[in-house]
Amino acid sequence: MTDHAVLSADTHRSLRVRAERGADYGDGVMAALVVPDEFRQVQAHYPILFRATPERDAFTPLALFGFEDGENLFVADGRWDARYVPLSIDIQPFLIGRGAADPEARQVHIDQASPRIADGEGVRVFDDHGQPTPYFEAVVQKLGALDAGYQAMASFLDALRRHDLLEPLSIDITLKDGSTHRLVGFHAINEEKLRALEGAAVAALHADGHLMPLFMALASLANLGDLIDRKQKRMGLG
Amino acid sequence: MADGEPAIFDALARVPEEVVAGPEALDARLRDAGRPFIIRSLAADWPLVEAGKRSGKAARDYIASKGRDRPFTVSVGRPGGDGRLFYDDAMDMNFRMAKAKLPEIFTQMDREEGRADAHTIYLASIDMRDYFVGLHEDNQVDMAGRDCLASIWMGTPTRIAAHNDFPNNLAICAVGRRRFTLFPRDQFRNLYLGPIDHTPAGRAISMVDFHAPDFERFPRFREALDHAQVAELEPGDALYIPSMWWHHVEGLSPFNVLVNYWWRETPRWLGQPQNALNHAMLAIRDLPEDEKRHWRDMFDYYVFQNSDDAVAHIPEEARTVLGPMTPELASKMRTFLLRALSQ
Repeated sequence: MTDHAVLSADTHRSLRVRAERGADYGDGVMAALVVPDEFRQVQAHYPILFRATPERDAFTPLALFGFEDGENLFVADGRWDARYVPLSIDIQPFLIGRGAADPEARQVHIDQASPRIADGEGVRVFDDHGQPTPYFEAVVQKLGALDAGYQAMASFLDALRRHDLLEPLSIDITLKDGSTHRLVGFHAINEEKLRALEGAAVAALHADGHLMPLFMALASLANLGDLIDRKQKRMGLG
Repeated sequence: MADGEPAIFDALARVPEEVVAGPEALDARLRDAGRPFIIRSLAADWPLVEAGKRSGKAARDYIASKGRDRPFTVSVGRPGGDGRLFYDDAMDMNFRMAKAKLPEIFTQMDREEGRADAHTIYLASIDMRDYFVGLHEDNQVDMAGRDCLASIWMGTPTRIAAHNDFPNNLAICAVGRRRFTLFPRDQFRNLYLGPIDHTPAGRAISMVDFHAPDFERFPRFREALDHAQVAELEPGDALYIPSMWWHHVEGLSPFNVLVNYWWRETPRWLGQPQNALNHAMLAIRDLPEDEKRHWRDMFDYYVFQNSDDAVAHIPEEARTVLGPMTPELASKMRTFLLRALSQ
């Protein structure tokens, strides 16, 4: 359940947020939305895959954290074991809202039903004078980056569609104990088609800022090996 | 084709013509359209139609001026052919697929137009938004917010075997003359369809040569003709083709352009029925008769009748895909099938 409200220094003066990591705080997810602007940081740690929305009208880029629903192989003992946490995770329990009067204006909203909202525990959002704390200032900056990245994503996804650069991906994983796991329903960058693009198309992708995230997404697939290692370790097969 | 016009078309029924006044009337008419109809001059004011009335070359120049600088997929038939893009005697395609930039393709058309040894050249089903800038914007029918795929089809004289498509179709003859021969859905038995997995353009096609029907090989085609309707379109004319109606399509002029809109009235997150049929051929067709009867029964029960009896005994919240389908359930079902198929 979610319960979104506009954040304000008056209403939320004494609000504290639990910033540590854990499945109890909503981090137990196998994947999270990432935006092309952060692909460079994301690909240092996670495979970047694409998934069709349930309505089948668009794709969503995702960082992969595990192989089954609810499995996040990066989260253990209250911490996230990677130097970069995708923005869409990092900003929780905050969200970007739109002003009722001016749809162009952005507001910070908070999910009041989030398990991160603690009574008397965690990090302050505002100080006693109603000023944002350094923690919250960093969150606001990340919300801004996520919003800008999200706005730019449509053009990136449209370019992928136009050049037919996504292909369905099915990954079979056999662990050391002989158990097999299969990942289906995802798409990845089609390397063959990317390589076959001719100069003018590549130049246009570059001019639009899409070329680097494309190659970052392609490179990110090398992290599947790391993810499998994490899975084996968690199953005690390390 | 202009000379020695094949005879069968003259004897066939005509697609009815309708007058549709304005976008709202068109929207309403498309909403309850169960049968094909023609709207004359719906797109008469398009710049593309006006260019085409000057000459084929003028139309090509206009189209090329809006083209993106990227390779287009083009079908190229043999020189001096009759424009029929079909199988050869060995059931291979009688044309080859190539990639080329639009100006190169059009230059070849310019050079060869009117020559007896001209190649058949056909650019089929080109996405107007992906391959052009401003062409769709300047030449479009108001589809009242329908989520349409807008495509353009360009070529020398061509003849495309009868086939059908899943979405509804509004086709606008923009340049040249075009003839559609339509058949109701249930005529598939009488059209003698070819292979489903080896096709010229993704759909099974009728093996009958409409310009020289071999009634000894295809005797039931006579019955198909009893149900056929012909639409002869001039530049600017529009034809509505309902989902899954069969259509044989001819570009009759030296240069022909069609613009069409495909849309489905059902959500796009539902599956493709053809996939279901294909899988049934794989899974059910070769079973013993008694087992096949059982599966027919099951299909009737769960798919075609789909009455409350099938689910009434299951708590509502546990019915999942047996209950009303939602995007989320469809997504789950898709993953379930993907997993099953890849075992």
